[in-house]
Amino acid sequence: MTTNPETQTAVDSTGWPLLKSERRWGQKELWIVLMVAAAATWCYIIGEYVGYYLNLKMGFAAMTAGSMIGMFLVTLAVVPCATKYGIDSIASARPQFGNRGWVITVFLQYTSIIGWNCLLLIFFGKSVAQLLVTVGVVGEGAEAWMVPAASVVACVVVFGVLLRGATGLEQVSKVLFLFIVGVGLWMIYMLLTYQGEAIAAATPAYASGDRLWDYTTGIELGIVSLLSWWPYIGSMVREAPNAHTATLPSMLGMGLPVPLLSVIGLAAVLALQVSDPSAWLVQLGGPIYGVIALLFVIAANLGTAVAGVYATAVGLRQVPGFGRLPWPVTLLFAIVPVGVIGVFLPDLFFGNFGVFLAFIGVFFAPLVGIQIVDYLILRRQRIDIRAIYLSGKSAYSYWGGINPAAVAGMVAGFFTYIYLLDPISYASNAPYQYLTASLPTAVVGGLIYLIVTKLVVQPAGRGGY
Amino acid sequence: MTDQALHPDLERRIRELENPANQGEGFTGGDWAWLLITGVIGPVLLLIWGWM
Repeated sequence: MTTNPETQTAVDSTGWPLLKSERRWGQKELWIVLMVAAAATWCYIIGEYVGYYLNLKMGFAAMTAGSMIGMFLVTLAVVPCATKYGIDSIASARPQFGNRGWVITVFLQYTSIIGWNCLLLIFFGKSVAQLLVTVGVVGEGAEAWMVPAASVVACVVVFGVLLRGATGLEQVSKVLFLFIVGVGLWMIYMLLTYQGEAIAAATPAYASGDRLWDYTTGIELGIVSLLSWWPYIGSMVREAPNAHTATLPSMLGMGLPVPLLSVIGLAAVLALQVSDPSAWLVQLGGPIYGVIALLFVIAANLGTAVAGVYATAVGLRQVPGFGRLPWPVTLLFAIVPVGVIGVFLPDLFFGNFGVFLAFIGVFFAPLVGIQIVDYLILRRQRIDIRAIYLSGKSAYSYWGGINPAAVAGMVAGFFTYIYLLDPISYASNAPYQYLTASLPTAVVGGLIYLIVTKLVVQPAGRGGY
Repeated sequence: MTDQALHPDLERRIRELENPANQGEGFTGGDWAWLLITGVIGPVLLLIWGWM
């Protein structure tokens, strides 16, 4: 971990592949960075949503299993290619989508990470307001100006940290790691000690009456939550020299923190009907506990917001025109939309979290299915690294720079998901209750990609197969 | 197909990565085992436990 910061920042600012000699993160460093990226207060909201349908035992099992399945798909889709060639998630998708079609993945990364970051910063702002109102520093109604103000402050901090590129990300992660782990464990202890009986006796507020449907929905929420790691993970695992170094940190370091922290939100909403620790810890232990909880919210969200903005900026660097911009300007493109939404539309994402999660499933499930089929099966883990960076005629120029197999796979996946689970109303059709929506969507997306590639792309000699 | 000019540093990186010896290794057999345990077998067992 002795990378020269200036050299590291230069590599970050280009979005070019990292050479093996430059990839110096071992399992420990990767584990810490991935865990800090995953551990954020969205976990409480995920746990809260699962707690609407399931009790503690079933909710824990469904969330954890779903999360690990989602992480499995993301790991298979991104880690082998990113660690072999030192590239991020966006670059790893160019062989499938084409040297123009890959902008689809940039759009997905951009919108999803901005959405998550908005959620984090608004949660942070609400926590600050909640605590200050509780301890009497400000009066009721302070949330109206405190959420926008907190969003702006957080954006400025994230910008300052990332001026140093991945070095800043790694340094922040090291500082936050022990605090996040320690306070997270303490919060679980507090809940189980003081509210154990209430949690055990609690019944989910919005259970459908169909135990299987509720269970499957818990699994689905776990899967889609972890599918949203697709845009994040490539920019971090590419710092590892090989897939072996990244396998367990990815599965356990990035996959497990979400369900484990979500248990806090799940237990809290079952026992106390509120998932924000800044609110329920005050109920349990007074203002001091509330301050500790708020510090936890700040620490957890800062690490994730930094990782998200970093991944977005690296992805943007590869868009024509952005590559020539200074690194700080690219960072602004990743941060300013978050600040604008945090200031002017703070309730938009917070009030539509379930819809946002389903949006992740609709688009990222077919995406990972396509990548797994293409890289692991069709290409046998080999890509043309040069063609990734050629904007004109190349192995990945397909037809007009777009691979019809990828477009067909995404469209088929989109309609499969919509049929199985309506992202707006959560109304479902069989066999959703047996299979979830994301898993069939990933399979259909990958299968259609395979068929179109075999019938159209390969016979035409396109795609560099 | 490869006559497009690339930045010299990017060209250097690509040339190095085109040599398989300079590429990162893929999943090992042990990695695949861990992936199956943590991503498939473990979740299935967990779901059975949760349902009971």
